[in-house]
Amino acid sequence: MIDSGSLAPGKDGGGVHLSNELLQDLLFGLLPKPEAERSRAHLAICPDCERRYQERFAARERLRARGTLRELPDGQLVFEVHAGNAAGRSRHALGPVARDLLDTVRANLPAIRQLSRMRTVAALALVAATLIIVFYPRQSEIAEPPQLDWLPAMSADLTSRGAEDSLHPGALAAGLEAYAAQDLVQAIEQLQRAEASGPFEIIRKAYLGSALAWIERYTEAIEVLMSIDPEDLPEDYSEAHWALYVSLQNSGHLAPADSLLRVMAAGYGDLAQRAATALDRK
Amino acid sequence: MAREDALGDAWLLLNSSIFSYLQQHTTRLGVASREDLEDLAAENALDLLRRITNGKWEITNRHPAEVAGYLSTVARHALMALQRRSRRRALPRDENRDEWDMGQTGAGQTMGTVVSPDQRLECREFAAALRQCAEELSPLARRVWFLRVFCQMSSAAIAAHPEVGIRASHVDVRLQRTRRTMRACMKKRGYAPQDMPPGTFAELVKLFGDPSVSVENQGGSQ
Repeated sequence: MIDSGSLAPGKDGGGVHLSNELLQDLLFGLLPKPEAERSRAHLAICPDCERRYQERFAARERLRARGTLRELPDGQLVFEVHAGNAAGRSRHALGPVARDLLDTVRANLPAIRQLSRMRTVAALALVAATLIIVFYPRQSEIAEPPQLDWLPAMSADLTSRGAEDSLHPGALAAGLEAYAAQDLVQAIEQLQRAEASGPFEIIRKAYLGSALAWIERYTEAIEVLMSIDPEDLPEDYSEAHWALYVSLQNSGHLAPADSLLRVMAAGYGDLAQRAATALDRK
Repeated sequence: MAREDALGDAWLLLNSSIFSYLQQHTTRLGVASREDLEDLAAENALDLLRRITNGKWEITNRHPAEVAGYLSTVARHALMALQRRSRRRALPRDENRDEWDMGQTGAGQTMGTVVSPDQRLECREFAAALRQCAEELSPLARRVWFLRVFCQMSSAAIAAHPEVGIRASHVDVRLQRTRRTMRACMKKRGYAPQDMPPGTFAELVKLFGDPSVSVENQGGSQ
């Protein structure tokens, strides 16, 4: 049985009819399955309701054929009329995202559950969709992920001096050369072997962390870069701080990323400026 | 994609809601053509969506019933504005016309409100036969046929439908073939060409689910 909230008495003496709201909810797939089936069963025996449903159904399909709503990068909404063939997404019922949100809202608010019995689910769905529109940023508003930069190439002299301190002579130099040539796989392989000591160990870690970040092995990059005491890192290699920030940010560690960004922004030079700009964008 | 999806959903919901209220108000305020109502719905839905996105219409904290009431008001005002622009198109209300509870547009075909058990059985049999024939069509042919027969869409509109995507001339060719196939198929089942009896659309919707969607996953060839 369709409950009384779904039906409205006809003035023509022809019995009860499905309300406009219920037809709307049926059209957008907002009804629970059993109720949708009962409503469709009613349509089969009620020509008036069937006609009203068909009118709505047809109007929606004609609208979908007319054009597509587009949001321009500046946020302006435009209705693009289909000039000819238009292969687009299939969407008859409410989309999955708004549908999920609607279900969540409906499940958690008793008043809303009552409301859904009052057959104004379409209005509720509109509110749910609006929540997404309001709170989900436009593509143009989504901040660009921070970009990495390369650490400076090591001089041959420093490289050869570093090689002397390495457990595997030649590995550090080979790793740094591979890094300079942007051969990151080779660089990582060599730098992982070339454990050194003193300042060269810090430099090795900086380059290794940067190389790992470049190939998006962020967790490993964070581990390596976090093991460097910031005070020990020569200014020439401060780009490693940025590599750590990028790794934290891109791996979802937003709080420490933000913290680091603020520390960098409080400093001087190009890195500080870059950090300040990134903070402004947030 | 979430925002884009939500915009699309809100757009269709707004359109459909306003269209529904426009239909209600035409009963009290006069009759407008279906095209006029669709234009008004599209125009006002876009306007409202723009106001939502630029923060001029804040609905997230409003009661849905309030939102529904507002949409009804928008529809009524839009209809009154249309009538002011084109008095000739707004015909007086037909006091003698049968109406159901909330009022209904006079644009649609009026059908009886009672279907006898015999008629219902006939309708079911007819719809079942029609469904069987439609199932033998390819998904594309079935969709094209459905949009023409049940949504009264032009070939150009069908061609532009997001789930069709063929040229209008191809729509005509497909329709011609499909009609021939359907006629032959229905003839085999003992049905001569006729208007769709009441209940056919409902039966098809019930049997197919949402026909123009469910055909995606159904086989068949033509």
